[in-house]
Amino acid sequence: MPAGELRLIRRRIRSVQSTRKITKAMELIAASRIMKAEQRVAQSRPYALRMAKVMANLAEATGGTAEHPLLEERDTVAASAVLVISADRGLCGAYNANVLKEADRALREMPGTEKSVVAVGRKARGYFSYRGTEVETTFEGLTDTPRYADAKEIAGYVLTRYLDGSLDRVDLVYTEFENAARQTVRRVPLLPIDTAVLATADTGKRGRGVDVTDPAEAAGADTAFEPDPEEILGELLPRGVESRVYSALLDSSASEHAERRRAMKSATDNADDLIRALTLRGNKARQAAITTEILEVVGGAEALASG
Amino acid sequence: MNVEIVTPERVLYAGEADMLIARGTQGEVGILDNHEPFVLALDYGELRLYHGDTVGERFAVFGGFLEVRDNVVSVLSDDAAAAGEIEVDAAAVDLERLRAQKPDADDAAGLDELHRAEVRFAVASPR
Repeated sequence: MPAGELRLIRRRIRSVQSTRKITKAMELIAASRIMKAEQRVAQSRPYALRMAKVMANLAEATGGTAEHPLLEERDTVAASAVLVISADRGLCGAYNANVLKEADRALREMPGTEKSVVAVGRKARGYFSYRGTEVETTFEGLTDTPRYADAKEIAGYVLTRYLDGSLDRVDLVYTEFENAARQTVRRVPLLPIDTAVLATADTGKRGRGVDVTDPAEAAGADTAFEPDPEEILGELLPRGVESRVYSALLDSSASEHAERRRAMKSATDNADDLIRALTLRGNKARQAAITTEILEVVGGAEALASG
Repeated sequence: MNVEIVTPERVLYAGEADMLIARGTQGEVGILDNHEPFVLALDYGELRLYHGDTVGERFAVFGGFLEVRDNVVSVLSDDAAAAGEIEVDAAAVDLERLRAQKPDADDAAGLDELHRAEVRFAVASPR
C-alpha cells in the first residue's frame, strides 16, 4: 500500500521534527548555561586559591603542630560518608552515571562499618536509596546555579556531623570541569582536612592567571596574628571546607551543562539524520504512488480506446 | 600597597590604597604601606580605603579574614558589598523590621541578622 506508507512516513517525520525542536532548544539552553557556569568557576577561583594559601601559611606558622578536631585523623573510623554531587535531572549523557559509579566505588573502599551518603542532586538520592545505601540527607534544586549559601549549608551539615562524632571520615565525589570538552570525575578527602591537599589541590591547572607562591616558600614564621593562630585556625578551617564544597558545586554544575549540551547536540544530529533518511524514503514512496496512478490512468484510457 | 577584597563569588575590589581600616574581632585595625606579615580575623563592620588623607572606597564586610603579605592586603570574606551597592532605603526598612522583632539574647540567628542589618545601614548611610 504505497499511499498508506507515505502517510506513515510523513507522520514519523513530523514526530522526529518536533523531538528535534526540543533537543535543539535544550542544547542551546545548556550552551548558554555553560558560559555563565564557566564564568562563575573563574570568579570563584581567586577566593579558593587565597583561602588555600592562607591556610597553608597558617599551618606553617603554627609549626605544623596546630591542633584542631578538623585536622585530626581518628584512630578508629566507624562511620564514613561520601558527599556526592550529581544532577537533579537526566538527559545529560553519562554525567550522572559516571559520578555515581565513582561514589559507589568510594563507598565500598572507605573504612568503617557504617557507611552512608550525603546526596546533592535528585539523581544521587534515587540511585543510592534504590540500592539500599543509607542516604543521610539530600540537597536538591541547587546544582543548576549553586550559590555560596548552598555550599555553606552543605558544608555546615557535614561539619556538624563530623564534629559531634557521628561521622569519622567524609570523602567528596564530584565532576571537575577542565574545559568544555573534558570533564573528569574526582574523589577527594574532605574531612578530616588534609592541609597538604588543601594547599596544593587548587594550585595546579587552576593557577592560571593567579600567582600562587609555594606555601613552603612563603613560610609565615614571622607573621603576626590577631587573635592568636589557634583561634584563627578554628575560624578558618570550616571556611576552607565551605570553599572546597563551593568549588566542587560550581565545577559540577559547569560539567553538567557541558554534558547536557553534548548529549542534546548528538540527539539533534541524530534527528537530522533520521529526517533525511525518512524524507528520502517518503519521496520514493510518493513517486512510486504517482507511477502507479499514471499506469492506471494510461491503462484505463487504452482499455477505453481499444474497446 | 595593593588591596584585594575577594568573596567566593567575585573579586569585589582590586587596586591601590594608602591606608586601610578594618574592624577586627578585637577592634579597629589600620594597615599602612609595608606592614609586617599579618593575619586578622574580621568582625562585621566597615572597611575603608584611604587615598592620601581622603576616604576612598567603603565596604560592608561580614566576617572573614585579612592577610598582609609582601605589601598586598587580601581580604577574604563570605559576604561583602561596596557601600554604593547597598540601597539605603531598603537597608533602613530592613533594620526597622529586625529591630521591631527584638530578638532575645539566645536567638543567635536573629541577632546575627540584626547585626548585619545595622552594619549595612551604617555603611550605606551617606557621610
